[in-house]
Amino acid sequence: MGFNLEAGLQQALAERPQAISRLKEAGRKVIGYFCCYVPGEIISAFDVIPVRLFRGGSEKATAAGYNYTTPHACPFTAGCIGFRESGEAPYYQLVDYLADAPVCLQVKRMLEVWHKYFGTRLIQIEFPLKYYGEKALDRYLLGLRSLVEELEKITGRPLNMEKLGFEIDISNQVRRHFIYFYELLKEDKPVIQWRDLNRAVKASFLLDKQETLSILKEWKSSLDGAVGLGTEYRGRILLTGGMYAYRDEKLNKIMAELGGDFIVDEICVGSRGVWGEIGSPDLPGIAEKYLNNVPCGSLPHPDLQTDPRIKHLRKLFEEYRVNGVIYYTLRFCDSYSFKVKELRKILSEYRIPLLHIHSDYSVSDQGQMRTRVEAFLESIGS
Amino acid sequence: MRLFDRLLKTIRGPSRLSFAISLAKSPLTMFKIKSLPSITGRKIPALRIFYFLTLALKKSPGLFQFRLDPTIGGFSELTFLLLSLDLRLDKMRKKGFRVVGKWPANPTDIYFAAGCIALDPFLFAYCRMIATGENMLATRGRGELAVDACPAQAAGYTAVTQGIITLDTFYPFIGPWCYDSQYCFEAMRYLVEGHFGEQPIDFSGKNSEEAFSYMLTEVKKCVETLGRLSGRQVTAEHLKAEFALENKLRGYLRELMDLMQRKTVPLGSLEFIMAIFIASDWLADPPAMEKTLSILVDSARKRVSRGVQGKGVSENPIRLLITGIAWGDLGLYNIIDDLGAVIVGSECVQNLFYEDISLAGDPFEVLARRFLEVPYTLTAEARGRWTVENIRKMKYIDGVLFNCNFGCNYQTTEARIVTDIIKKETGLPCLVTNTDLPNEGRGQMRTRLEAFIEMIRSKAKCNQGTVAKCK
Repeated sequence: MGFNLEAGLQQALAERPQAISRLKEAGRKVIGYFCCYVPGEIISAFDVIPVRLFRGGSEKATAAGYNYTTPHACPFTAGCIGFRESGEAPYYQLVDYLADAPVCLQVKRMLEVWHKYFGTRLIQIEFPLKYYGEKALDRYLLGLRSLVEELEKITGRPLNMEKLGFEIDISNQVRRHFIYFYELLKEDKPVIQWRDLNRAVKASFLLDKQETLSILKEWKSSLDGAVGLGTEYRGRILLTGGMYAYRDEKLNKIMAELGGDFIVDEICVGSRGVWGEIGSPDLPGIAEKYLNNVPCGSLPHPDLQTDPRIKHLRKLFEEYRVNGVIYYTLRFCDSYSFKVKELRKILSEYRIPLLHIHSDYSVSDQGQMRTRVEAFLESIGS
Repeated sequence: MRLFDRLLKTIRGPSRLSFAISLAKSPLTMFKIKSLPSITGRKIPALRIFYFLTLALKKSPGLFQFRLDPTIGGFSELTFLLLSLDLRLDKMRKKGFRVVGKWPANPTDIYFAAGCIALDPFLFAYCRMIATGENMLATRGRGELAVDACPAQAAGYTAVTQGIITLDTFYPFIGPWCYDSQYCFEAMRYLVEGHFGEQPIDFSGKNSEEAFSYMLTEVKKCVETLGRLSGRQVTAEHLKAEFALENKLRGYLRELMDLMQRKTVPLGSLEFIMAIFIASDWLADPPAMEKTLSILVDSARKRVSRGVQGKGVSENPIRLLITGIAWGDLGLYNIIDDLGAVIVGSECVQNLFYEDISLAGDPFEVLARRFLEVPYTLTAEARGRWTVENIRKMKYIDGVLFNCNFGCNYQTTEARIVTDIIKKETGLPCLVTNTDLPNEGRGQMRTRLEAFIEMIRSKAKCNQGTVAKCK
């Protein structure tokens, strides 16, 4: 043991904005993105720095963002506008471009706001909303090719396939490590905490991939001999739902205070963002991997039986022996909140209870949320 | 006559004979109701419309809280088509028609040409709430979907899941606007077997051919699937015939909007919005709507030529364009008129009728292009510029309202960009409003509208000009 993951991540994250600033001064460009359908490997292959912008949890930033939308917008997207305007979050000021595959259409409109009011240049990546359609792969490939073209214009050099292969290899190694940690959570007495793992996953979207890899390697080796010697969780709870942003700590905090934690997640800033490896080290290989990811809930599917997200959830229920589900959604996130009723029905087959937390970044519902989570944990324990 | 008989049986209280006599004496007979053709091939007799209305209006207390002018030709027929929609759909399904759920932006041509009935359950359910004067459909839907769901989505969801209307399938084209609809249809998938077509998002100019080719494939797939459902071998001729019919309808709506911008305003805000909003989806029956609109537009034309203003419209009204989604709370339109203004245009439904669909060329290709060109599906910037172009074409316009429905993820993220462009390019004042369920927050809205209208009026006085100056 001896390795302190939290301290390691904290230090790396504290130093990262300055490190990026220095690289920018040396002529490197920074591309921000919001969605996990943007392949960072391609961006890194051009020596451009990819940074995922997914901070939330700030009432102030959200309120600032509402000046550009209306108060009836998703607090995450409004917050992303607010962070850019207020300067509260350093990464939001550092980006030269925004690249995104607009899967969530509120995010797509948010990009337009950035472009119009902050002059940020946009690189829009085609992404098929009908990701299960015959032509989906072709369309996504088209989007990736246009991303490459844009990067070639920005950097003035063509895509180096060797460098791309290197970046893919690093990313795959990072993913393998994350998969290893998620596997650990399947144990009856997991040696790691989900909240630590999620911290690491979130950090990986901000840190340099090699730095992430070395932290993960250290963490992994610190666990040698300890696997299976952890403690039993207070309930085996799966976290699913919409954006569970970086610094949106309300639910995490409540869970920690009540002595609970999640056993696994199905969120885009969690397992969904890091699972699966890229096969062939080229654009079709990348397209295939990202397209075959467990789909984001913002991508509607017409058939319940064949919906890959539902299939994946069913697999998680079984593999992780889930006995409770917390479904977290932000206000005005229809893509996820409209799915709660359906999931509740599915869960009744497994006799798994579901707690739906529908919140925003205000503190006003903290007490109520705590009571509900507490009651939920108690009901699972009984 | 089955519908007629059914309705007759529902009469309670006075005997049928005395009821019929009282109807005959009713002032409604003055409204010169015309019989309507129907998509089913059978005529809808004027008497049935009249009789239906006298009964249906009793069940629609919500309509009585508004100041409506039923003397406009075609308005009774329009109200009939609206209030009888669920009954007519039942009848159509019994005759073998298949009802397909779509959402507001999707042109209806593709559905009707494929031999199906296009239905926007959200518009239907919203209208139902207005007619009944209670919001149970939306509140119930919100209980099932989300507390912050758009009221139209929530109501539409309830209408389908509670069996108030039956969909044989849904086939909306998912894409860059009305995001909530796609999730709402998805939430119905446990009940209705459905499909999604896709409208590509934001292809840059250089990719537009790929976008078009993809859209074309999606259009053909949709036609094929719907054709299988209806049992019709859909040909180019079917599509062209539908375009021709619906172009006529689109033409009427454009003309109606144009008539609203004459010196004499022929309709009050409410009658105008009801006409273009309710009619824009043809209420499941394009032939019936064609006749209805022809009567309505003719009536408006006559009013303009005779200098007869719409009921409630003041002498020199402030003329407003409503952008975003039109208010679902119809009472607000009466308030606008009371405050000395009038709504003379709506950007929202204009998306559906802004121009004809070309009859030249391959109709599948034409339709694919149309899907890609609907202004709401463009970027917010392009939408703003399109609105500015339209404003410039308008003869009289004093201010712009932009309304967001509570829970509408689309309008809320576009409001600022679109109104900023309008303000910058035209210099017109803009007011962004947020509305929710009908009859809610009307007092506060009245205050805001009053201040906005007063501001426009005083500005005009300060400039010693007149309001509604010809541009």
